[in-house]
Amino acid sequence: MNKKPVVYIAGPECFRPDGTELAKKAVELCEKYGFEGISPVLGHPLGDEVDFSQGKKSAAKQIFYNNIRYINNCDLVIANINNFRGWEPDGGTCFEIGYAYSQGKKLYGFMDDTRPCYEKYIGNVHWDGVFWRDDNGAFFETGACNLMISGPAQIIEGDFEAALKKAYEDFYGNKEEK
Amino acid sequence: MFIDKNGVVRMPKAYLAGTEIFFTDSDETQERYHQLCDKYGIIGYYPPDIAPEDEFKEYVKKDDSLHEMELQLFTHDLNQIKRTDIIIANLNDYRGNEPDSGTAVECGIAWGYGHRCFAFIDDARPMKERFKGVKKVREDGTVTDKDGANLEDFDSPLNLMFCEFTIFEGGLEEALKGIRKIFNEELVAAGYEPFEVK
Repeated sequence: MNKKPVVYIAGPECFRPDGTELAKKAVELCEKYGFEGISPVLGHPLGDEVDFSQGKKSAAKQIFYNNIRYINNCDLVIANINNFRGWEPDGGTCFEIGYAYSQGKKLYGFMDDTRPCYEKYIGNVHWDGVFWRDDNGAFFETGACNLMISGPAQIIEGDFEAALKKAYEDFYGNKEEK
Repeated sequence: MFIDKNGVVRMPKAYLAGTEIFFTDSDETQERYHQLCDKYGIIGYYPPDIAPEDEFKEYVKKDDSLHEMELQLFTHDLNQIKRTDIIIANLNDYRGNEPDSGTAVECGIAWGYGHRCFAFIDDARPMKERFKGVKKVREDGTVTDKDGANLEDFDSPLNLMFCEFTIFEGGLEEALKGIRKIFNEELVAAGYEPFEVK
């Protein structure tokens, strides 16, 4: 049998106290759908052991290059693009989406709510005849997220598993139901 | 002037990534940013600039669907990045406590294409200090947001995925000043005249 397609699991779960359990669950789900999941939270033999004694900046670079190595090794990225600490997804996740795109990886983004940004925004919005704008005058993208994500990535409403199901269809076809 | 990846001395082209395009004064910003870049010997590519070879013909839409429009604009921005040597990103918080996602994606693309990467931010203190939201401290001393999610603690104002970016405190001009200094040092070290800022 050929090597299973490898999923890089991107998202701000790493910041949560239950990040490790969430990552383990995501890796198990990947297994269930015929993928190998790599989570930066759990680490992977491809990455180096991070040495925190060398200073924060060096440790950050080590983690960064581990993540880059994981992305280089993957076939697809499934990213949590829900809003994080405000009305934008996690910046690190977005960087990873961009980097993965530059390396020709297939991209999936999942979010709880795929209505247009201006509809989801809690705060004043006004229509100027062309765009919906916030109180600072900044217009909203027409879609569910910034087009630099929805251009290259498939956007799926739901959770990690919903995105994984879509990836399963794309990689394995509809030949069998999971 | 700068020394490019192949050792050739020429004018650097910079992709100016940021949220400026969303605001009603974007046209004025576009002009101001071009002038600032000129002053520091850098050719600025503001995202909506139309390159002669593009005019939005580098991606021809199949239909009038939202996704085709998104792909056309994405391709335009992508090609602007491909045409440039460096990226200068506005990574200020946007509608909350994270940078604009489009800008962050562009940073990843540019780094992936081997661009020299620079950014500016109003407050460049470590994230733990500059964070504007409600902060909490866990028993082990970890600083988190109100939902208990850790704040990055790597002596940087931003997520560690931006650790290969040289970050300047201030606006575009502060970034340009810093970049010019770096490029001039490289020019002088290689025996060339530095670019003189007027």
